[in-house]
Amino acid sequence: MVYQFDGLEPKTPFIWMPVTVEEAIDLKKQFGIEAEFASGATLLQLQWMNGRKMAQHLISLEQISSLKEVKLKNNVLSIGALTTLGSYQNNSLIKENVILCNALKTIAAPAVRNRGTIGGNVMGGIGDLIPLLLAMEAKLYIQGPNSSIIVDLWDWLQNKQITGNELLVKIELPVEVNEKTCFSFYRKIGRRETFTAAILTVSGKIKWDEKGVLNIVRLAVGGGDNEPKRLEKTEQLLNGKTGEEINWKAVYSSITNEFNAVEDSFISSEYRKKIAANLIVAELKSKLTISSQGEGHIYEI
Amino acid sequence: MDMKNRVIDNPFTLNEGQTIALKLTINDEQYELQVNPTIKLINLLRDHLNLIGPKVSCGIGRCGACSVFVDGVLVNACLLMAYQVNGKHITTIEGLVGVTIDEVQQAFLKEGGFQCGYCTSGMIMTVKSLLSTNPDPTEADIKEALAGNLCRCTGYGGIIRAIQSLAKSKVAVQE
Ligand SMILES: Cc1cc2nc3c(=O)[nH]c(=O)nc-3n(C[C@H](O)[C@H](O)[C@H](O)COP(=O)(O)OP(=O)(O)OC[C@H]3O[C@@H](n4cnc5c(N)ncnc54)[C@H](O)[C@@H]3O)c2cc1C
Ligand code: FES
Ligand code: FES
Repeated sequence: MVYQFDGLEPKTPFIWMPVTVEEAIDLKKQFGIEAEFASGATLLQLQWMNGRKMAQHLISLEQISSLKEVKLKNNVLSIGALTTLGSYQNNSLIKENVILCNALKTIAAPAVRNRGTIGGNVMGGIGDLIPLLLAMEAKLYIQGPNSSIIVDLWDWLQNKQITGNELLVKIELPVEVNEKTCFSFYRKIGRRETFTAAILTVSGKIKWDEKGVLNIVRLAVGGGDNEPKRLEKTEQLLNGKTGEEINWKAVYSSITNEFNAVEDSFISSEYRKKIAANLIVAELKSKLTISSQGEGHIYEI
Repeated sequence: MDMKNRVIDNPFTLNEGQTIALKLTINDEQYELQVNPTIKLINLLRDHLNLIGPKVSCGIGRCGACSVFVDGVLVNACLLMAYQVNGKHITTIEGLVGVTIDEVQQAFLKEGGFQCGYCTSGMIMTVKSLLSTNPDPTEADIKEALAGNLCRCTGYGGIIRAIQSLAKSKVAVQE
């Protein structure tokens, strides 16, 4: 059967389907701001629907098979940017990473997760995975117009030199070998059934030495319209201390000070800050009070 | 690389009117279509090919009314553009029907899993997808699987019962 349909929209973009990263980068160089990368295009379509202009050239990354690779080497999980959000169902390496799986399951619904990608979640700039990846010390392998770099996600987000021409190739995630001296958490608060974005997402990772002294603390917030952010000042309040030495009141108020929560007609910024502080403090205490203080010790904020 | 997709690997297959030559299989029937590359799969199915089983409600991936399979994987037809399904095998609710109706459809009928029926084709595709990977789902598994499918009529009770009846009957058959 051959059909010819009428009624073409005037602004139909040109679709390019490169099969290598190099071809994709060349196309982006050629068309500059008139071109946009597309992976699953689930976020892009949402944005177009909300009035964002469609680029004149759409560079689909879907045919670049190297972007779909997931590997584990030297305790680093390397996740190709095109790995879908639903990959936890069939990829054994992703399945083993419990916190990543739990986070993936909170994003959208199964059918969207079968199309949306981890790379698109990060490069869209507002994805729920970003706080998790910030806390997990993720690094991005970025292919720029002229060179490639491996950069800490937090450094990347703060980098004002981003041109929009960069292609995310993969995400590198350190995998903890000694889970007895490490704890991580991820919590998303949202009202999915009301068709709204997450209220907020928080994530954190702590590690301690044999004396129970914290030597790595990473805390992050984001989700929905909140700008993803590491809570570096709060991290400093915790680092180098045992659970007993922590001033939880100071930690709580530091979180509320550091988090630039957005405000809308339904949820105030103050409310979001409180939720973030409550969640993070509760998660940290759940571990620190048991592992360093023995059971039953309760701190008051 | 998937050779089936080579048709639009070369951008020069785009002609001046910016249409692409799209080849795909829908419910085991092969199609060759000259289309706008960003037309939504749901519009292609419903408006041009008269496959009106999949429905449109939200149009942006939130309600699941448009659920179909692409190469056996559950997707929202309203969130897929033509260029993304080139060379693929699409299954719509129409493709499930053989000599008799599908067992999931039968269970929905038996347990009162629908009222107006608008969400039903999407629900059934989602349930098929769930049972293919998890033949004996718990209630939590069922709710998680249905997270992207909205029903305005049933309150979900009949739908969940329908799925549970299938899960149980599968266990019984296996025993
Ligand atoms: C119904 C619905 C519900 C959703 N719910 C959630 C949710 O709960 N949480 C959430 O975080 N998101 C949600 N999303 C948004 C979206 O689905 C996810 O963020 C998804 O991970 C985006 O991936 P994608 O492949 O579709 O990205 P795309 O839409 O293809 O791309 C997103 C952006 O990233 C850029 N990009 C993509 N890949 C690359 C790359 N490799 N290199 C450089 N740039 C790139 C694109 O140019 C674009 O700007 C939802 C979307 C829908 C439609
Ligand atoms: S119409 Fe496609 S998900 Fe609602
Ligand atoms: S039966 Fe009416 S929307 Fe579900």
